[in-house]
Amino acid sequence: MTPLSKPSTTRHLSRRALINAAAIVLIATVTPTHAQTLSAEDIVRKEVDAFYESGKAFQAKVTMRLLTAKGSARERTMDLWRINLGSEGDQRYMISFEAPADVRGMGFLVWKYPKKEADRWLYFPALKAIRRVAADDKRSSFVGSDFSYEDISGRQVDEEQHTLLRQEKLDDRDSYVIESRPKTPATYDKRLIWIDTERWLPLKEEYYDAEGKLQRVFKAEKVDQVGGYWTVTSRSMLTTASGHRTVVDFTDVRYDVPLSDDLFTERSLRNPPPLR
Amino acid sequence: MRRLAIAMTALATTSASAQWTGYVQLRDVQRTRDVNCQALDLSGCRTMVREASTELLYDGKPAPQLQLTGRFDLIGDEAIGLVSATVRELSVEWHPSSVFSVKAGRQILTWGVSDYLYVNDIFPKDYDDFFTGGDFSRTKAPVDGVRLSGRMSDTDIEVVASRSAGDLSPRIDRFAALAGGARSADNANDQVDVAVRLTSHVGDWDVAGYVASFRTREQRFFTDGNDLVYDRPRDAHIGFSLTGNAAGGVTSLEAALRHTGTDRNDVVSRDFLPSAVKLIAGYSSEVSQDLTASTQLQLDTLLSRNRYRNSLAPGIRPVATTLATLNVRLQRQWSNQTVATGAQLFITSEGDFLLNPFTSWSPADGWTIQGGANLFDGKPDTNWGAFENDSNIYMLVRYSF
Repeated sequence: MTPLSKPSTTRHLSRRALINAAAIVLIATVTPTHAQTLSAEDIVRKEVDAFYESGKAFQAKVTMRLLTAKGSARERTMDLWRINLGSEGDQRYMISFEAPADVRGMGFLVWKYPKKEADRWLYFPALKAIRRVAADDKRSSFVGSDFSYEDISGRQVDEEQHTLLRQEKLDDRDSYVIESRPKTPATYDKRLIWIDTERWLPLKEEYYDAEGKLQRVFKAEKVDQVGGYWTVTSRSMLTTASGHRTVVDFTDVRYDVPLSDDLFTERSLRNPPPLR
Repeated sequence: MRRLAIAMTALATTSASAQWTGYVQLRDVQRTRDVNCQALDLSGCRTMVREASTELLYDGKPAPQLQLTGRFDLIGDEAIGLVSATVRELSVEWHPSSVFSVKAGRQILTWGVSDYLYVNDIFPKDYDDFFTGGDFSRTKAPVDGVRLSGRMSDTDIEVVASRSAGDLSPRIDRFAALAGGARSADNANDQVDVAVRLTSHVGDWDVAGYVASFRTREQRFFTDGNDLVYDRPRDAHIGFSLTGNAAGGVTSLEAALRHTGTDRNDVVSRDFLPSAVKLIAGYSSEVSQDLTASTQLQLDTLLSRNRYRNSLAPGIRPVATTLATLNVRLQRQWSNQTVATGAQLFITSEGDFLLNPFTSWSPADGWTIQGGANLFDGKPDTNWGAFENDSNIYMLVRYSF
């Protein structure tokens, strides 16, 4: 992590690194923003706060459309609840599926911690059984979509090495462009994130493999202010190799609803309440 | 059929906020070996199952604190000339607070942390469906009872009192291994089973303790003169389980001490262990994207070998003091999880095995097409080897709505 106010030496750096360093110096010189005091890690932390942790509690109805390159579509609808516990980053998520019929009643519970791997459980209603999801399964597809489990519940900031590449406009919004590389082997080699400099939400993400080939593209399709919080109410993820795309829309969004810890337990996973 | 219609009509009129879902399914199962069906009195001979079925699930909330659930099966099986209508679930759950609930009626219960092998999941299973390509969700059979469920300082407590119910054995009119039949020595179904479970999250682990007094789910066959008879003796059970993330996957451990109170002479069920320590260790991991591997090892160790040997009928070969069963599963998914192929192997320390290869495809939301096989092999007196002549291939088409 290199704070912008302290550009590192350019000796022995590659040409690309030189260009990056030059861009960073240029940004620092001509743009008197908080980037002068924020490191890339700080920016990503703010993005995680805004995207995954806004408000004390959150709930929404979620529609997930899975679209093939040929145009056929599948649709999943689910209820989503989230609560933040304390100020250390502990979170609880719960998702209950409404449709299609063959997954109705299925539930997904996440206990997310700031310093260790999250605990994840799935509930299978026909069996009345709860089973754990392995920590390493977090990068597998979430119910066949182009999103992974960790795309849904977020990843730890310190799991990746972050570098601020540049600042640029994306669809008329000022954004920081961050390169994030996983510190341990993952399904991608690096990702580029365009983060809104004002709202701190991710506007776009590109995932690359080790050969530099683009794997997936995330886009914030629609951003609204709900209850005082900027919220990505429509987002998409494209898998470039297959052309398969998933569009996720949030409706009935509410922040700071009075949710209790008791909602995020095995009991509620089996018998979730209606959205408030 | 009349009771089913009454139950469904009653539910349909209870709540405007109710939902009906379900599926229709066609399933065909073909035996892969030649057997003398006439001698064995098998109706389901080469075609073991030719079934059209529907399951209807009702979910309703007549009041904020009440949940009504009904699950109804209508099955027509041409292979054995069966038409049946059954209530698989019919229960009411009252939850006056977020930390306490009572559920009464016919319900499905699953305890323990293992799949397909069972130590602490003392509730009945349906092996007729399981051995003929039925969905995994159909491997559980219901019980009639009351379940109290509460939460106290991070610990969940469940108490279940239910009418004793045995496993649903493979049907004798389609499984050569079970041809002939037997009569019941007592009416265990009139008995009450009681079970208690405590679960908690300790550190990174889900920990649970179990205590139960119940009639065994499996039948203990013995001879009475020229008759083959069975009973389900009462067992006392104490056990524990834990599961958590370890070594990049999910690790689980289950152990239990099972004590059978009453002995019989002339027992012919050689794998019925009267009192034993039971252990299952399991590990599951996604070894690469969309490829999941799981393995479980079960060890059942006799507490008193003499007691076991003395109960066996003359000529029955005793099992070893410790019986091991290894379960290995591999599953790969493709095309955004719309196609899955895999295989599951059960193999015991006696060398008998069951192999289940399968492929399933979901061409659109709600549709499932699945094909596979249940291949048994081993000595005729072993658990899986007994079903050697019941090896089969199957195909099913399901539409969920």
